[in-house]
Amino acid sequence: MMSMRFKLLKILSDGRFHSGRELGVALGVGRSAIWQHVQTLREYGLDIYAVSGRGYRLSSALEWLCEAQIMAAMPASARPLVAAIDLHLEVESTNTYLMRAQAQPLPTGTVCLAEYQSAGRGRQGRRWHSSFGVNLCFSLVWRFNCGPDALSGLSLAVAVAVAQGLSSLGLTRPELKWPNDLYIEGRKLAGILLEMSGESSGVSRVVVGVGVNVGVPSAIDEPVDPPRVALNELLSAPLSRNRAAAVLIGAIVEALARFDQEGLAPFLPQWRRWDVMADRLVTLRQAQGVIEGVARGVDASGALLIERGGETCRYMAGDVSLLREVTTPR
Amino acid sequence: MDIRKIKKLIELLEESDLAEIEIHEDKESVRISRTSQVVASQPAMVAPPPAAAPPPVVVAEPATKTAEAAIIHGNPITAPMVGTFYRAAAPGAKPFVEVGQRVNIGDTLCIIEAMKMLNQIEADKAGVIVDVLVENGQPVEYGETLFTVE
Repeated sequence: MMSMRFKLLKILSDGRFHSGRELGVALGVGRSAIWQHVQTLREYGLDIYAVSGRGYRLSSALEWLCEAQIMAAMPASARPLVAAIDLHLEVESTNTYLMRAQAQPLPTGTVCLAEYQSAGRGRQGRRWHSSFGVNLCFSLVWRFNCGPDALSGLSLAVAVAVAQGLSSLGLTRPELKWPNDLYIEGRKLAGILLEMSGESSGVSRVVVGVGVNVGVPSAIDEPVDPPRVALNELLSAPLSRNRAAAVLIGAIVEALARFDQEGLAPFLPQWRRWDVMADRLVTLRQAQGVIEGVARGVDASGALLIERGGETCRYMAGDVSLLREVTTPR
Repeated sequence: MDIRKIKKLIELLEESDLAEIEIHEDKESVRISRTSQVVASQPAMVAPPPAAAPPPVVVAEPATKTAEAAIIHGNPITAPMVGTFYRAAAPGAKPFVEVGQRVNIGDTLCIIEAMKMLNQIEADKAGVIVDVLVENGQPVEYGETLFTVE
């Protein structure tokens, strides 16, 4: 049952004016209740104009996510790998939702999408804020018949899959930043967070969470570091979120199935092609301190290689950032 | 440092057939022997020299913890992967478990992160957390003991 505020938003999502009276009649409530709901919707980051004599209007039309449209736009090869699409208007976070739902095991390939996350997050509890219906945030469940140690490169494989999806949506130069961030011209476009828990049978359950900036951020969105960019700032025509979801989910489920069979190896050539850090001077921030050196790509397990003083070491953790370009290639 | 832990170690040694236990961890080590007295030493390489000959209790804490993991029949919970150990979901958040806390099978004990993949380590046996052997934010190796549960 859709709550009153979202019924109101459905009417407003055409981006045209609707008078308070008209809305009140449609929803069977008074005009002051409409005003209250409009206030609540604004807290979701929705930009709603109120103009006296004309009524309420959403600043631009809103495309709602739709399971059927997403499945229809997905490549035929990926469709059988999606067990179900679980679409929500609002959840705490799609990752949290699927991690909790695993108490009653969900089938591999279950996808959770949300129009709004009240507590979207990145690693170590970092917030990921996004207005209602503007961006794409989804998570999916996958089970692997191996222990967590064999899955270390999965993070990079998912990043390659997202980059491939984005390139088929028209972005020619995705930039991958180890281990799995996606940038365009130095601005962050997408983030990925993988969460895993083991099963006693030796199976690892992984929840892959993806957030992609699609719509141009509204004024309510907090300033963020690093600077971010949205798909609709980069593409010549506005992108359908349903199509973007279909392409990205399709690319990811195919990558997960492939990783289960072949591991990280088939993803490494693409990783190296889009690796924005390679042969550049970087810093790696870890709990034990900061390391400075020249990034030399990744090894077969996905660990970051950094060269310092003629010696190359591999790293499994840390935040890497670019210092400046180095002119001496390997 | 809890002197009772040292005493417990000595008792354990006395009850066993072993002549000597020597434990190394990081820069510190402790050796407890039947033949000589309790000896504590620090390798010269990295550790600052002790200001005075320290009593064993000063340096023995990490070593004692390892000793408990190695000797006591508490069940070790080990790292299933290489990565960074986190005791809480976010910096400043409440740790998943504390020493003395009872845990049930499936309870999350910690997170190990490698390459932005967060692995929730769950209790595979019920019991009480006896010890937490790794500091928050430190790297762990495959198979390293993280907790002991009794």
